[in-house]
Amino acid sequence: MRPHRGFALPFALALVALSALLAADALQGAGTSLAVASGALERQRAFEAAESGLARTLQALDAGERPAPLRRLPSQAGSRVELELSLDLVETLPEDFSVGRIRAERYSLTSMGVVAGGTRATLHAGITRLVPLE
Amino acid sequence: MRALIVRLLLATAMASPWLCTAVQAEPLARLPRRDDTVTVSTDAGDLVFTGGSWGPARRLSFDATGARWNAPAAPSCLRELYAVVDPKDDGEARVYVTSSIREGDAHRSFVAAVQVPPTGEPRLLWSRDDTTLPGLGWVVAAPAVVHGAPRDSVAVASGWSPMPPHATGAGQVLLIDADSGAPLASALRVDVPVPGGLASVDLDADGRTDRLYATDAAMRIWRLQRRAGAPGIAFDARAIADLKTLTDPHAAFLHAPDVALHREGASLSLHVTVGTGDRPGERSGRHWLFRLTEGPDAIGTPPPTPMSRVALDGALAATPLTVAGRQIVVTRHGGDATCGRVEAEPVTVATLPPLLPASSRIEDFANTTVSAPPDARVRLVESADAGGATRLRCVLGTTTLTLCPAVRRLQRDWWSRDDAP
Repeated sequence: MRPHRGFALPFALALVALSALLAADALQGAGTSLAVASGALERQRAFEAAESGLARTLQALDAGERPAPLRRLPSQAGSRVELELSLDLVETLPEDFSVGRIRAERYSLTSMGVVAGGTRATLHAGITRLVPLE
Repeated sequence: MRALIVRLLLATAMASPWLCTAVQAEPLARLPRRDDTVTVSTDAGDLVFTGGSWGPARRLSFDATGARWNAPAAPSCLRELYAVVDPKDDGEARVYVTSSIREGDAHRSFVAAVQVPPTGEPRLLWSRDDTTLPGLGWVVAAPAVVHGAPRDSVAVASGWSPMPPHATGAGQVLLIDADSGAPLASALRVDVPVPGGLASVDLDADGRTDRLYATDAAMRIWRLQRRAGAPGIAFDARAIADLKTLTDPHAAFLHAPDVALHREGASLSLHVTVGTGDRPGERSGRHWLFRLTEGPDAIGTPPPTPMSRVALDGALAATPLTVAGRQIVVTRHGGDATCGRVEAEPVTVATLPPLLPASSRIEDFANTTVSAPPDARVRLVESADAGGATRLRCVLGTTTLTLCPAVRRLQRDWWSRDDAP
């Protein structure tokens, strides 16, 4: 009786191993994509938190308020916004306006949005507020 | 016969706006305070404070005997009142007033200061008249506040004669201590009246007034530069333009110069704009708006300075206003007031010195008729637009001027973003 010598078993084993490798790679890729997507989402949430801080400060300045120099605003789902506002310069002679009728207040604002995982986005803005003197 | 003469005199007085007028209601400022907002305005020759928690309006009147609160002033033929409001950082405000009255042959001018505390009623801080301020003369313009070094003072231009002919006698810019009313010095003394108002300029934003601009009855523009390092308060006065040959002999500069900082590339300059009105009791055939350009650091005798002008369609009725680089002017035609925006760049007519006769064409000048008192002042106010953003608009009396450029109150000049994991 002649011994049976074939390649079906090794081939099948190799195929199974290759499939396992491919599956593992796919799983790893999916995990990486998920992490990347999750990171992008976190950064976007941090940016939106920072943007909301900027918008709220602009709104307060437009309403004639004087916001506190340092503020911490609660945001959604554990994120927060930290604001730093400084009045850098008061121009009594703003360009192209009559002297004594208006003053220009130059502010710089830093708005930092921080989400629960620690991801943060920071916006810096220069703002001018014109204030009539009458 | 005597009754007829009196009637004729009265009719003459009533017919001339210079002989029997009163400055009409005109809001000057809104002062926000802890518990309320106080509005300061002038009304029929009185200074009026409304809106305070003290109740009814408080009215300060001047008559031949002095200043009185909430008492009707003695009947007078002529009562004029001009005021400037100086808000402080601590919530207090000062209102400095010039008032000129004439009762029959008697005439008197006042300079006074009213304190508006952070809470409570306004109170008269001091009041001086021409018996204690020699040379005050007849005042027809608001004072200017000179801030700092070492204390605030009030600058008053004067010298107009209350009786015809008005443009006689000497004039000066008198400096008065803002706290006590004591005369300090004269920033300018000339041999003609200084009837117009003053522009006070802080060039370096240090809170101190560095420079005043004034005009006189000889149609000159004066730069009064604060003398650095001088003890007390001292100014160096230089005539930077003589516009007599370019103006009608019946015209005068009656309103304060308008001063605005302008950038052309990397260089900064000051635009000084003055306009002509009618001398009291006279009528000029042509009126002009002149613009002078000089450097912010200009001192001493001026170098040749570009000057330009546009024709006005009537006598200037208020200090011009510059908003976002556009010039807004109010002109008077008899009893009507119109407001216009200078639509074109003024034409250069001369380089100073010397001045050359004008041969340039008349520029466009767009007008809008408004219902406002002839002595109205164009104010810059805030109002919300349809999108909820606050804009600055020009108001004459109660009329919003559509020709005034609407400027957003808030601008985001720049921004950048940093991200961190």
